[in-house]
Amino acid sequence: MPPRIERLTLKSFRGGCRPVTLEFASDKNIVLLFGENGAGKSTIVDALDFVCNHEFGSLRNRSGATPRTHIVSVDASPADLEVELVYGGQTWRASLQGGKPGTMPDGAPPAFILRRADIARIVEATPSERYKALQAFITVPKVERAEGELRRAAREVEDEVDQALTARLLSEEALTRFWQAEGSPGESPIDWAMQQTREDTASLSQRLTTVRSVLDRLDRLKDAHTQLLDAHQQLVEAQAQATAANAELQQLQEQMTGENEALVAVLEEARRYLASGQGELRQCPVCGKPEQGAVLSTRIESELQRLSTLKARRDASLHATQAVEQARNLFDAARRHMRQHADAFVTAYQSAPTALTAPLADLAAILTNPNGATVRQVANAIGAALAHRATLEAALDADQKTLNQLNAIKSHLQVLATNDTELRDRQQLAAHLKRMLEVVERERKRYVSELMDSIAASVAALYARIHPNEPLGRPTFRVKAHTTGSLELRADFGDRSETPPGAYYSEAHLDTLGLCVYLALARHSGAGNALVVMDDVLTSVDDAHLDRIIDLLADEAPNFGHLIITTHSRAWCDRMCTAKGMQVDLIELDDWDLKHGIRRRRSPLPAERR
Amino acid sequence: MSQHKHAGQAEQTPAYANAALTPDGQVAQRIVEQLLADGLIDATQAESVWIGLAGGAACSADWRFVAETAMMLGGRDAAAD
Repeated sequence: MPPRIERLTLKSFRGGCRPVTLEFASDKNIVLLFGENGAGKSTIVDALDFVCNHEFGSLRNRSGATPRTHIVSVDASPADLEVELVYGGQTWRASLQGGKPGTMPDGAPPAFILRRADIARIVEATPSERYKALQAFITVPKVERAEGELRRAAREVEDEVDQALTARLLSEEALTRFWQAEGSPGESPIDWAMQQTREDTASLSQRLTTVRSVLDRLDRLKDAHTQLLDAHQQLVEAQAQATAANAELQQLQEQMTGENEALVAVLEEARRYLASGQGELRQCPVCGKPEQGAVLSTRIESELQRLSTLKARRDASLHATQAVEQARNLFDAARRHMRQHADAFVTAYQSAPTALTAPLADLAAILTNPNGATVRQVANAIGAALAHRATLEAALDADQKTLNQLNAIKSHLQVLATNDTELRDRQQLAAHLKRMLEVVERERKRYVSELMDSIAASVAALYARIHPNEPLGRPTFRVKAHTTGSLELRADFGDRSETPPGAYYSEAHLDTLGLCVYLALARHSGAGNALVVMDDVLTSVDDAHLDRIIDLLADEAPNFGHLIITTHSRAWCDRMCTAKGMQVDLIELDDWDLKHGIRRRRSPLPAERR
Repeated sequence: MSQHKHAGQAEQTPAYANAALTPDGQVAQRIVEQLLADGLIDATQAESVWIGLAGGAACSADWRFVAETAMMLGGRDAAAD
């Protein structure tokens, strides 16, 4: 026996404003929940939706209702709300958790719940709305998610192939440009490029480095030589100034007999002595003649003033001599600097290839002459070497261009070689992923298509039982090619096939068609254990069709774990309870009021009622 | 399907073949069988591919790894032949 509902308890849940527990007969697979309008039938169905499906039930689609607020009974708080389900010996409790339905533990049985509003969504809605209503039954979301990732993987690898192809194209174009610039020698750009890579780029690079070093040393030698010339010029000028200053000093000293610079020194010393204030002066410290200090100071100042020209010339002579010394030191430093750069140039010159540096041979010879060379000889040699500098630079540029091109050719060939292997691998991988994606997509679509065909066949069979020998039927579902999220429903009407049922069927026919679709979906999705609930769905059918529907439900019930039907129709109730072979667990609800909430009434047998 | 069997590989029934399958599981099973039949995956990869499909957990990197491994194993089998 499949698991069934044993007990359902509502606390502060919608109309269940007082705790209410419904016991279910475990030996009967059909439950008939009967009550007048407003007795609490939909509250009980919503409670099953809440605990099994974590949904707010009929409140979801009601205008003006806030489910998380209105799911709670009017005189209770959200924390009071609880729905307890005992099913197949296990207990689940549901409550509001963060404003949403939450059930503990996990794994509550799913409930397939059909309300009157759902029939319209299945039968009369647009294809996209119908798809949404039935999406959970006809899609395989996990496989679709994995398929989407496979599609992404295939696209990523295709992008990599495109990138590799682009890199290959760029390298081929670059090699072709080089090849054409060289006059298109050989069979093809690739052959020519392969030939080019045999060139010895290492020695070319080495030659460029050494020659560039020689030129750099030459530039520095020139600068050092210029500095030496400047230093020499400054020394010559300093010497000339010193000679002139000495001559002027000597001339003045000869003019001032007995008043030479030694006298100036004595007077300056006397002035410093008097200014120091070492005791009161009564007599001249030199001649012993009686003298007053103040008078002596005045006379010393007067004498020094007279001898100031001599002093200035003496200072000028001294400064000129010092300037000569300084200029000589600078000149010596410049010579040493020049020597260092001369040696560095010669070293660089000797390690460079002679063919390129031949124009510099004279300069190297002069700089290495064991007998030395004059400044003029060196200057002339440097000038001659610099005259060849532009030619050498041009040769270097040409060599550098050749080297750059050879390196670029090698690089592009390397790209092509690597690219060939990687491109082949990527292309194979892309093709493999594409084939995998085709398989996944095809099998998923085939499964869904077969499922819909199977469901449609079930619907047609169920519908034919309710409407035998009527010119209405053969409903089919179809997903449009190249359209997602759209589900067409078509059926026969008289001699017309493929018509939209909503356009031709009566309300009762649409209701029964919706019921058949729903039963077929529940049968396909429930694996024999489905908990199926129909909430007051059939109110428009006549007695003859009602009997057939009841017979149908009696026959279909064993395909489900538990079939729960709610109705406010006494006729429905009586017919179901008295139907042949029908084992119904009748739960009858009393009138609802705020004081008592939902109440179960003892259900008299139909015979008792009669 | 890849008909090659590696040395020491026992004939086993995949775990998924015995399970009561969800719709996702059923489609995944069909897909795996077809991928094997087309030689796009190796028998040793079948169960992990099924898990990735049925659970919806296979990401793009997983698929790439599956394809690369299948190509490698296919190449190895071809070389062994």
